Amino acid sequence: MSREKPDRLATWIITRCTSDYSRDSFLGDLMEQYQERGGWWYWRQALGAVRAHTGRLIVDAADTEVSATEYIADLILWVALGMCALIQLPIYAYLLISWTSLNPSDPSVVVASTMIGGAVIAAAAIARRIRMRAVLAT
Amino acid sequence: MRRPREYLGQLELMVLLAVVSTEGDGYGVQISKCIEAASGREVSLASVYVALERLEHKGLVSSRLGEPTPQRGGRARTYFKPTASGLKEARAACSTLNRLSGGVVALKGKFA
Repeated sequence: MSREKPDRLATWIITRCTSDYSRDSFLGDLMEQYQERGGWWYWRQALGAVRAHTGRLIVDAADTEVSATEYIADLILWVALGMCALIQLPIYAYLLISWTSLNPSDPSVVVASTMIGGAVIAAAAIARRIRMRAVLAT
Repeated sequence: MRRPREYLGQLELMVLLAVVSTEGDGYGVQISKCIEAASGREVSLASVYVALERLEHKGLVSSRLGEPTPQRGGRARTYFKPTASGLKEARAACSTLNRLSGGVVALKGKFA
């Protein structure tokens, strides 16, 4: 399995699982050792990078203090958004019917209004992710 | 907000000791080979880099970039050396381990 250049997939995995800070040195070290140790070793290092990356995420999460207020605010936000998305489904359906010429009994009204509800939840999830990233960065 | 961890992990300690033993000329490959030679087990280079990043974040090691080489695909080596706090931490950890293991009968003869 030893070739002149390492597997591109393995390199991609390694690149995805290393921090910007050490990526270049790490890839350089792997290139340096690749000719000597071969493709299987390179793949083992790629799997090791996945394991190390997962471990780092877990340790970082454990080392991060988020105040009780932040947790409660996050929980309230989620419950509120969930409730809104459910309650608003008939409203979405009504708007669809009034804006378009769809028949209220048309199954596409149910599908489309459910999709709008899903989009609201997805938008909320993205907003939460951005907000929590800001909280964790402080 | 990051909470400072009180003790070094096992790999962090091994990496710190390997950095100390390479006397400022250690880079990823050399440090991992040093650990492999001492422990007899293969260690993932990624784990070594994660540990080095943590140690540098804690101010226990410092790094400098070397020259890029074609053999490394034009990438430079990062050399690590222990800081004064790193040396102090390594001494304290070794001393604690020695004291803890010294009185344990079950471990007698293992370190000879």
